[in-house]
Amino acid sequence: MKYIIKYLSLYIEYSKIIFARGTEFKTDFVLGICINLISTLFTPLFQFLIYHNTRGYPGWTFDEIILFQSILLFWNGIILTLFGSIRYRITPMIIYGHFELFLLKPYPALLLIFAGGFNYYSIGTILAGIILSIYALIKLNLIIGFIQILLFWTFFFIGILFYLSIMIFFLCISFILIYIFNLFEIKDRLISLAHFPAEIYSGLFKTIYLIFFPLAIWTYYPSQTFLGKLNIISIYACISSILMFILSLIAWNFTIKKYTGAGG
Amino acid sequence: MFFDSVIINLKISLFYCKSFVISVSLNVVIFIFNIIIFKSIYSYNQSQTIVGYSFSQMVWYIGSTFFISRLIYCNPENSISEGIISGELALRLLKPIGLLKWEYAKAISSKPVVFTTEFLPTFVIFIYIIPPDFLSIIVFIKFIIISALSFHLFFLINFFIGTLAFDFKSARAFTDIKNILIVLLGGAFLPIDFFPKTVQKIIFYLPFKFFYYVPSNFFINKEGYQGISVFIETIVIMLIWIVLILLLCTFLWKLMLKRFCSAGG
Repeated sequence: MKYIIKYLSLYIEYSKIIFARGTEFKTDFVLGICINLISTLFTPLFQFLIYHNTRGYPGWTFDEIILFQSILLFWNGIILTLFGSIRYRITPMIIYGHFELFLLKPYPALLLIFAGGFNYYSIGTILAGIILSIYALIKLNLIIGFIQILLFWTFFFIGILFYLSIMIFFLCISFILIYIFNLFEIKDRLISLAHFPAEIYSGLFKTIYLIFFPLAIWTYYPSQTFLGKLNIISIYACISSILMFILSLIAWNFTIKKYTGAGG
Repeated sequence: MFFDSVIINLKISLFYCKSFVISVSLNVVIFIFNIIIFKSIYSYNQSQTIVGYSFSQMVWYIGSTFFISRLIYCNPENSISEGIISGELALRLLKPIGLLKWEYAKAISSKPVVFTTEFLPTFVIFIYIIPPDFLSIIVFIKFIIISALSFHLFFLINFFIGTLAFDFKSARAFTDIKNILIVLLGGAFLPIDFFPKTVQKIIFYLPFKFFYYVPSNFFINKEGYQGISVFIETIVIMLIWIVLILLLCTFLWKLMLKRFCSAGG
C-alpha cells in the first residue's frame, strides 16, 4: 500500500510538470488535444466503412460493434492518458545515455518510467468513449447491473496489468537493442489487433487472442459483459494477464542488470 | 559535402540494423493477423471482391502499406523542432551544409538499409505466405519508382512542417495533423474506395493519396493502374506536387530564417 501511495504521489508530481511544460506551447496544446481526439476516432470510422461496404463481422450487428468501439475508445483514452508519454521520453533517453541518471535516483527505474507517462492529449478520447458508450447502451436497450459493472472494472484493471506487461517487454527490447526507430509503432500495430472482436479470428489465433495473449481483455470481454454473452474462458485470460505481468517484471529485472548504457 | 552526409548517416543506420530483424518479425505476425481478419470478412460476405479488391489484393494492399511506411518514413520536422526548442539549431545553421540538404541526406541515407534489411526480407516472407498472382517485374519497378517519388513528397511536406516550428516552437501538433491526413486520406488504414463517392472526389484533388493509396494500387496492379499512360500521368502529377512544395519550403525557410532567434543554447 505504501508503495502504491509513493507511486501515485510521484505520478502526480510528474504529471504536473508535464502539464505545465505542455501549456507553454499553447497552440500545440490545444491542437494536440483536438487532433488526438480525431485520430482515436479512426477505428470507429474503419468499422463504419467496413459495415457500410460489407455485411460486417460474423455475430456482430452494427450497434453492437459501436458498443465494442466505444469501450475501445474509453480504454485507449485511459491508457494513453496514463502512459502515453513514455514512448516520447524513453527512446531518446536510452539512445543518448540519459537513462543512467534514472538509475541513480532513489526510486526503482521502472516506477520512474511509468510515473512520467501522463499525456494530457488523450483526455478528449476518454470523454468520446463515455459519450459513445452511453449512446450504444441506449441504442441496444441494455440495462447494466452491479455485477456487470464489477466485471467491467475487473477486466479493466487486469487489462492495465496486461498492457503494462507489453510495455515492459517492449522496453526490455529497446534496452537490449538500444534503438529501434519504429518500436512503439510496432507495439501499436500489435495491440491494434484488439480492435476486432474474437469472431474475426479462428483456430489457434482465436485461442491466442482469447487466452494466451489476451488482447480480448481490453474490449472484447467488457463488451461481452454488457451484451450478456460473457464466457467462462475470460477467467483464463485474467490468469494469463497476471502471469504475463509477473513474467515481464522478471524480464525487466534481468534486462536492467545487463544494461550497460549507450551514451554518456 | 552532400554525399559525405549521406555516408555518415548510412553508417549510423547500419549500426542499428538489429532492429530491422525485430521489425520484420513483428510485421509478419501482424500480416498474418490481417489475413485472418480479411479472410473472415470475405467469407462472411460470400463475395469474391469487396469494393473492387479481391481477397489477395486486399491483403497485399494492407501488407504493402507496411513497406511503404518504411520506405517513405523520415522525420525532419522533429529534428528541426527539437533543434529550435533546445537551441541546437543555431549551431546547426553555422555548418557549411544547408539544413534542407542535411535533412535530405539524413533521410535518404537510411533508405538503402531499410530497402535491403527490412523491405526485401518482409516482401519475400509475405510472398511465401500469400503468393501475389498480380505481381510482375514491370509492376514491381513501377511500384518502386512511385514509392521513391512518395518519399520525396513526404520528406518535403515534413520539412515544410518543420519550418513552421520556427514560429510555433513545437511542431508536434502539425505533425499529428499531417499524420491524420495521411492515414485517413492517404489510404493507409483502408483503401480510399471504401469512402463515399463525394469524399473520394475531394481526396482525388489532394496529394495525400500519393503516400499509400497510389503506390499500393500500382503494387497490386489494380484495374485503372495497369497501363503505361496512367503510370506516366501519375509521375507527372507527383513531380508537379514535389516542385510546388519545394518552392513553398524554400520560400518559407527564407522567411522564417530572418525571424529566427535562438531560444536555448
